[in-house]
Amino acid sequence: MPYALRRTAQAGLVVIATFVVAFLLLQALPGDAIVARYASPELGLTDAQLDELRTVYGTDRPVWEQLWASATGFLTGDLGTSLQSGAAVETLLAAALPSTLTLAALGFLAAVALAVAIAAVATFGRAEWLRRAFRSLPPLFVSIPVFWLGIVLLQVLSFQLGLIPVINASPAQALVLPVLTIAVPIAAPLAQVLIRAIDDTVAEPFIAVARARGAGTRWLLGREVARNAALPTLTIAGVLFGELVAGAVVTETVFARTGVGRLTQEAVANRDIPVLQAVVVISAIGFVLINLAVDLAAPAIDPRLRRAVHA
Amino acid sequence: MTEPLLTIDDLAVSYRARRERRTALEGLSLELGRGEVLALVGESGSGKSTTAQSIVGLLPEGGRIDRGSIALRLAGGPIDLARLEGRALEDIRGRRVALVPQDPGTSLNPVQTIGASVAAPLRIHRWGRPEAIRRRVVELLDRVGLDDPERRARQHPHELSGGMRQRALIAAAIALEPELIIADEPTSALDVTVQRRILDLLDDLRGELGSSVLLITHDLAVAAERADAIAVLRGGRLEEAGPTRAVLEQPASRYTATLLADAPALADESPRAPRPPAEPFVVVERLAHEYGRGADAHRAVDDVGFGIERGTTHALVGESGSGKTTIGRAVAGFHAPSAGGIRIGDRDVVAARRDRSLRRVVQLVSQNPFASLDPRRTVAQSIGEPLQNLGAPDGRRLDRRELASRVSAAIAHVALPPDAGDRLPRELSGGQRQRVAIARALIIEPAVVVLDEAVSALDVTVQAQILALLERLQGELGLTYLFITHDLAVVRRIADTVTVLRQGRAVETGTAEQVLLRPRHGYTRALLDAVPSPDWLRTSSAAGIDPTPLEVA
Repeated sequence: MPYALRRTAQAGLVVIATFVVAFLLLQALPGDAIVARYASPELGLTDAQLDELRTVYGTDRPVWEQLWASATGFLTGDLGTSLQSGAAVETLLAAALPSTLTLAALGFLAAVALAVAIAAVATFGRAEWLRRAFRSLPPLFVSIPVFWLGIVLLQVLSFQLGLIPVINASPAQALVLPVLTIAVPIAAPLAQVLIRAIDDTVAEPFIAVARARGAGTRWLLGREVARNAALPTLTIAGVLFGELVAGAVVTETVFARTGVGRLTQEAVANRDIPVLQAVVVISAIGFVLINLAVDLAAPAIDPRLRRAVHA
Repeated sequence: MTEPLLTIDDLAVSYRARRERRTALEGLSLELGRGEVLALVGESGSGKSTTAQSIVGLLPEGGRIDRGSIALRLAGGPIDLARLEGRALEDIRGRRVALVPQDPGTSLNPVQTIGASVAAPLRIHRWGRPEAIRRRVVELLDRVGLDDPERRARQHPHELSGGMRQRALIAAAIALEPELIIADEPTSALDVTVQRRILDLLDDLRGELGSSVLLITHDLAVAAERADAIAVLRGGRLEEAGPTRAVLEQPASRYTATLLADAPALADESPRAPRPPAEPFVVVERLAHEYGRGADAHRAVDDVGFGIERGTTHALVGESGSGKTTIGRAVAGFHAPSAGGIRIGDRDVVAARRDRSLRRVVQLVSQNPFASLDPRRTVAQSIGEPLQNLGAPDGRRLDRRELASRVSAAIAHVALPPDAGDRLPRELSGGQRQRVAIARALIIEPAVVVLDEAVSALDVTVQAQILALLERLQGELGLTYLFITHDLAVVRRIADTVTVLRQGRAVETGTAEQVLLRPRHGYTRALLDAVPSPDWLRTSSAAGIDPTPLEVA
């Protein structure tokens, strides 16, 4: 299928471009990591020693050479060495990734469930006041800052109500609040798009035709509306993946969880360029893969796209 | 006499509009006999669709039945559809009362297969086991005349033509052999030749199933040809009702008489007489246009040529996909044809199409006056826009006062009320909007106007008014029209010369008299035959037709 091939090639190009741009931007940051890490007076290193360190880390070579070295390293699985801890970046990431992936995946699932529930009530709810109330939820959710939500959830659910222990929580218990925190800001735009898509679909003549055939609410929602409304929602879901990455940084910091978000936050604070480079590239790969999956799934949902694809 | 299947008694329906309720139906009473076809005729806003929606309980949000009853007499006793709700109503819909919708393009779920759509009423009403339903769907698709029904059942709506989609929708409607079929403008979105076949199919099925049909249409000719009885609606009230022939031959109300006079297909008038030949002003030569390239290329227009004399109207007639709009847009200079030449006077349109001064020579009025006007601009702003862009007809820039006076002159010219200039498009009716579009095209004083289905979306009486306006302006300003239409009846009213197009090729070109009365090509004859008109009317008007033997081209 040439379409799939073309989209995959495009995805590959995006990853490469991200790698290069991220590398150049991180290089362009003022000062260098060696100065940040080793130039403090307590260490008492001389300029000559600093230069030596630069040679060890390779930061004295021309930018293009460094880029090439870094790129070949990435391809062979060598992501470089953290300036801060001296550990291999791949080791740091391998330790952080599982926890973040769990958080992101659960957060995303929770967001989808929340969005579908909100949208269903907002469009097919029994009473008008109920529909109105649920329609106003997404704008409210969008305007809640993640860190604030995290702190409030922690305060209310853990400290005041004592529903979830803060200390010695089981892994599952420890996940509840972070997942909720990360889910809400993603669920909001998702619900908004879904409500809009359902509204648009319901206004289509074929819905009236289905009603005229005797279809009830459940048939309409399940058989006629769902698939039509899924496509725009899926597209926006792919874009919202970026939110997950940003959400993980804040959430992991607020809840003191280990993970890529935390790693990122520390790397930024310490100007740990190899770690940042790896995080940016990994995020880009994730983002590209998810959007590639969305694009490839779209024709399966809407048969009209299959024709456009072949043409 | 047996009791009628459907009796509507004193039905009143209103819609919520801001604070007050707006009445859509005011005391409507109707009867529909078993096995009969009752045509509900009226212009937009007459309440004909509201009547249909009330019967199936599908009034749009804010709509409400205020009083009256809709009695459906089934074997188990009469049911008042006006009082029915929830499950009981869902049980009737699709099973006893079925709907054939207006627009087959949007009435099928685009992500479902045709088979799934046709199976829907069977599954909703738990007609049988899945395999039985599957067999029944294929049987139904075969019955409505779709070739290779097994394959059609697996296809999606976009893979079928409009006529085929409407057949599939009819298959779904008759799936449970309903007593009442409501056909809401079932052929308005279809080409005339397809319209004829779909109406024939509905007739056959009605005979087979013994169902009654409520045929909702704006087209009196369709009603005249197909219905046993006609009910004419106007402004939510019944204007008159009775057996078709009685209503059409001796209309009791003046309104019906006006509708009849304005319906081009029923009008008993001859085409414009041919003029002595003169040098053509607009010349289209060997025009060809391709969309796409390589193996996907589609030849929309293939070697079409014609000439239009100054001050006359040339009609381009054809069904969808015939290339008529492509030609019209090329003549207006909106795109370059793949091959061929277009001249207006001594100007080469193809070469000058990016030249803004071409806009002074040729203007375009398009079909949909809702979409072609900027909703945020007042009428005066829209009409004055060409003057602001191009200056006065002689090229001068205009000051504010002169602009305003020219705009109000243009408003008066197209017979809009003087205060129309301050209004927004949504505050105008469809006909008024089309007048605005015409005023905007004419304010620059072009020599040629391309009218692309410019009256197709309008009600017959409005259509007649706009056609009269176009004729008057042509006489006053010496305009040359390229009139694009699918409606041969409109051609008879306005055209001097005609080109009949089929799939991008000109099958016949000639004077209106020759093409309409002595068609040479079989396709032109098929188009003429497909124009609905009842037999008794056709024989009465046939007396005026010149009995010259047909030459076969």
